[in-house]
Amino acid sequence: MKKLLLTLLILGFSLNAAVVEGDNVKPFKLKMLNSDEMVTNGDLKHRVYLLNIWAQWCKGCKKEMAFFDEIAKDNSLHGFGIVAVNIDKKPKKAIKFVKKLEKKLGHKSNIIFLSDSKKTYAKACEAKAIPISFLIKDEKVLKVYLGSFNTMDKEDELIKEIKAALK
Amino acid sequence: MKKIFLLVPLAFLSCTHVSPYDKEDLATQKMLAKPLSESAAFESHVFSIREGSFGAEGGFGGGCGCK
Repeated sequence: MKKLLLTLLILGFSLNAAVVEGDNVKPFKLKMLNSDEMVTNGDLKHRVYLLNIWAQWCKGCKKEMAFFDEIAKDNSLHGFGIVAVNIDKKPKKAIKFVKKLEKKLGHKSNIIFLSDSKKTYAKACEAKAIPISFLIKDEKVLKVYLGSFNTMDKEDELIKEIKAALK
Repeated sequence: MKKIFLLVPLAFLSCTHVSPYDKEDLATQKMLAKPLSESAAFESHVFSIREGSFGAEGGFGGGCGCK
């Protein structure tokens, strides 16, 4: 009986294991934020990309979006993309924010915005913080970043990591 | 063994961990201790007159509450 309880406990913990560096990317099939088009991890199989989990109610998340757009359109980072998974219950708020951002930027955003309104993907990743970002190459998680890049002054570090991953 | 069966439900009765991605409702304006910023300023003014002191409301200062 004790063994059974211990096994169940271990199994329970292992089922909810957080994504760490070196792990395979958790498979996803999510709807685009402003259309019904579906995007899967398979579509981005051969790309280097930053998978960011964000919410409209999170100030730090919104703060780093302009930086994300900047690196997504950077020609020196050719082959790199940003996938931002929104976890708002009501995606309308997030759509409104994206429109506001695009107006501020003066062009259509280069970020691929997806919606996870039921938070299934955030739960699957066992996100330890919001925002959280995963640098992915060939379906493998190279690096996990907790928190906003702007507030942590980690922009340069990220660019360096991207360049190394693109080589 | 009986103790384990007693302890397990007790563990579930304790405080709940709220995951970062579940904090949407907690992040709303109405969940702030003082949700209305205008009335908060007014209340703070009235409080300082009534108590004859101000400060130590978080943020700056040593928190002694003295003037």
